[in-house]
Amino acid sequence: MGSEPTMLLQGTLDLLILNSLTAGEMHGLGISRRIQQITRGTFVVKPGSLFPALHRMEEEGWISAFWGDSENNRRAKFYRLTKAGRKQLEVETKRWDRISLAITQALEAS
Amino acid sequence: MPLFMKVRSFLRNLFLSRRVEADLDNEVRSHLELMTAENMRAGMGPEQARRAARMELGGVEQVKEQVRDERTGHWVQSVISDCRFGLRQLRKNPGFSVVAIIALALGIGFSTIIFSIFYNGVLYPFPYRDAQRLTVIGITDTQHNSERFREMYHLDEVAAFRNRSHTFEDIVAYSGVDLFYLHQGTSEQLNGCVVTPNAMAFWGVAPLIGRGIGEQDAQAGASPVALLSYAFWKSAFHEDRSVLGTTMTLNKQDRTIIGVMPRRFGLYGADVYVPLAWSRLEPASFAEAMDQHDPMFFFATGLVKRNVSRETAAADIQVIAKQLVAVHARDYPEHFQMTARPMNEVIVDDFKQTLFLLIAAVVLLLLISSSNVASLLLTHHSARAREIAMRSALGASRGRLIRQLFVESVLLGLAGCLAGCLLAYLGLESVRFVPGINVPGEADMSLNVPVLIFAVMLSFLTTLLFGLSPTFLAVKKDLRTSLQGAGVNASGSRSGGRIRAGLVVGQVALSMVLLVFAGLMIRSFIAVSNFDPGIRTQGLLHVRVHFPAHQYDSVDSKRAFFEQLLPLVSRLPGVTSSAVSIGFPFMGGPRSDDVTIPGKPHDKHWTTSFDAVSEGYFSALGLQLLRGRLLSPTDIFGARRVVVVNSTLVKTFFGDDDPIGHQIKFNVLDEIPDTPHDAYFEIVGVVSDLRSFQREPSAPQAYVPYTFSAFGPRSLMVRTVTNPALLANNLRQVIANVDANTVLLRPETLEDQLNKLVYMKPKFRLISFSICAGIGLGLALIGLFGVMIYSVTLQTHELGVRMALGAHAGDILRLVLGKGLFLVGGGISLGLLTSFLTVRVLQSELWGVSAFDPWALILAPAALLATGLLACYLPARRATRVDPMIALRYE
Repeated sequence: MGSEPTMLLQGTLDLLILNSLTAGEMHGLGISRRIQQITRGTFVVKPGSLFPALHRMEEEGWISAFWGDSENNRRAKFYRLTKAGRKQLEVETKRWDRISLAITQALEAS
Repeated sequence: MPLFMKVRSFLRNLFLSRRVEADLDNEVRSHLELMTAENMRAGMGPEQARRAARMELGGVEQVKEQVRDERTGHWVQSVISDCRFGLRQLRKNPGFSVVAIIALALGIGFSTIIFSIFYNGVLYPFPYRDAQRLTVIGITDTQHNSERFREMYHLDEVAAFRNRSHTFEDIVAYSGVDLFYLHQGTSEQLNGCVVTPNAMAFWGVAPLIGRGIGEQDAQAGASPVALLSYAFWKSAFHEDRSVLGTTMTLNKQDRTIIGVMPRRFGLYGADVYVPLAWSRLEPASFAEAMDQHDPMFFFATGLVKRNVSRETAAADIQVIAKQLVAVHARDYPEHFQMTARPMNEVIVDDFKQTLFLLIAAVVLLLLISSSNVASLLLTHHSARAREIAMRSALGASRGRLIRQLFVESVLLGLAGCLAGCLLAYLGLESVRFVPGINVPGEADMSLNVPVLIFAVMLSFLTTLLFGLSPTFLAVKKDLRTSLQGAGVNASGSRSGGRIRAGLVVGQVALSMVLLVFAGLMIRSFIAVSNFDPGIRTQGLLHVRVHFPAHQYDSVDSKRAFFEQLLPLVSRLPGVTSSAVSIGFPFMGGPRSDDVTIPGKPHDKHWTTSFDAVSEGYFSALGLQLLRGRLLSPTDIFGARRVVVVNSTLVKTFFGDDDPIGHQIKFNVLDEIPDTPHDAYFEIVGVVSDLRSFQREPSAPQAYVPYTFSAFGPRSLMVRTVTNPALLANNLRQVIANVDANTVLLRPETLEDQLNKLVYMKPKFRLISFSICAGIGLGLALIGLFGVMIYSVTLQTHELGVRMALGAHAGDILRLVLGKGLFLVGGGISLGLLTSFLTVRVLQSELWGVSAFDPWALILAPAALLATGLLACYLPARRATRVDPMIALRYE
């Protein structure tokens, strides 16, 4: 864990959560740890950001939640992608590609 | 966007909130457990693992609150809960809430009531449409600087103004006329008013029943009509609607009654309105006009067009008037300027001054009530500093706290404003029931909406601004200091304390100004109530006797009439004295622009009023003889050239010389036909002055025997010890016995006439101003008391510490009182300074007291000081008696 985790760009958190849920259903801590893993510690999602995002996305209908047992038999709330969520992931990915391409071009140009 | 999902979430969040909350709680808890388990697997001990997990989570409640903020429909819920919480807060501190709401309500209510009463009763006392644009056309003689040279015109002049001007929407002509109403064999004189056919549309007041006067009534060959005033309809016809269409005989002509005007319409104070065609032929002479009751001269009142200034309108009329000089050369001075003055300025003499004072009084009142509320809120919130810090520690974001305070302030403001509106409405509804307030004639006491809106806005904004004050003072403060610190500490060490101290000083200063003004007003009011006009006004009945045309024109016939009548009158039951005169005290009588006194040459005009009276006049009025003798029956009988003068005449024309034996000539008599010319009267006595109610000093006045000339109307003064109303009937009978053709005009007591014509306006003004002042005084004292007592109460904790550390009760009292004295004293000095600088503007409204009345200037600070110190003393004394341990725990 880096001592100064990078600030998340606005809108990137949704993309990261949706993306990590493509691996299967997961509880909050799992999502947080997965994001930390796949970004190699660049992004650390604190519960204070994670839970509000999860609840908002649930209300949007992109993910659905259910209570289940965790890997060590503890009750935990799990999240999974919905059909709308997959579509949203596509949209977000395309958007991200566009932005990152544009920014890369801009940086190369200068 | 799946709208369906949104709606479902919204409803779920709103109605299943308990389940949603439980779910959230479980989730965060399980997250914490998962993290703890993870940490333990990494090798931490259970305690350490839990601690690390908590650190990473960063506060269960904060996380939950952040999730709540994301929910759909969250704001609805939080506003509801804010309102609920706000209401609970207000209920929890009933003392604070009630005082704040009352302060707001009083401020809004009374400022609106007072402004409305003044606006409608003094500034615009008419029921007419667009009263602000009503304009009276006048002529100023610029050479002799006579401001109101003429305000009445020949009808063709008014017609010319109306037809040729471009700046007026319309101009109306009207004039008073005597109407003799013949019914049941007797003749009664009515106050008539002839109006041009456009009058009804012009004034914009719809008749109560029937129709108004229209163009068709003024056309050649139209049947004569009459429009009644409400008062006359009531007194003569007892509000009988069936009089419409019937005829009444006025000046020997049958007129059909076409309508009745509403109660408030009192143009010219007339009983009956009759139409007049613009094309009417003017009477050939003034005498003919008087004879035929066909007026020569008319008032010209116009309605200036919107966005046209009165200067422009006057210039417009000036051009037309210049053309009219050719036709009416005698009626225009050599150099003149036409004027266009607002109608209310003509009627309400010092209109602007009064308006300014009124606005100042209302703003002052509002400022005081607002600062009451502001200080209350500041004090209240500094008492809540610890609570606010606590809420912020428990996860309330700054925005959330601001919103909470905002909602609380809005609730408080709404309650106060609603109460204020209610008070304003009920207050105005009940004004007419207040004894002593005689609403002037046509005025309508309706609510002044712009002022109500202004008052509500100001009060609401104050509540909001100071309701949010902790945002600037407490919320941004370091949490720790608030929590650790005494929490409740109202001593002046904080910025909030400084603002509050400033408010107290400002409030005391404002109250001081208001109190001085209030004191002066109330002193004036007392002076007016105790006003001594120099005569006894009670029980004095005054009637005008109207003689039939062309009869009683000679001195001898008039004399014969009264010589027969007066003994009969004095024999009526209850009559103590009776007299005849031309004029009427206070209302004026004949005036002479100059007098000639042999041995007393003078350059300036010596103006004096004079009256022709019988010997009983002095005792009937109660005038006191100061020197010489009164007019005797032989003076009257012999029509001797003797005169009794008042002391002001002596002072003005004779100085310290003895006037007795001097000759005096009233120069105006030389211009009156059928009156002895070049008549010198010998001064035989001096009597006391009549004191005029108006501010101007008493005027010179002389009394000569009524038997010397026949000119002028005749009045009868009768002093009685019985009911004047009963006497009036007897008088009518007695006069009818002497000559059935004479008409008695409205017997009225002098007191009633004075009330109606002279006292009413100043009295109404003073009563209203005094009420305003009294309320302001009350508000100021209550406000000061509340603020002081509350802020000292908040120091209980600090005082407890001091007591615990060994301070004596005396030290504590000295400390608190010293601080209070400092604030109140500062305010009083500031207020006194302001009062001295501004009190002069009040001078014209005062009556019988100087603007620098010592009583007002001493009593006002004394009252404030006493209130302030008492408000400090009571809680301070209580604080010293409390067990220090309790005081320390006290919050």
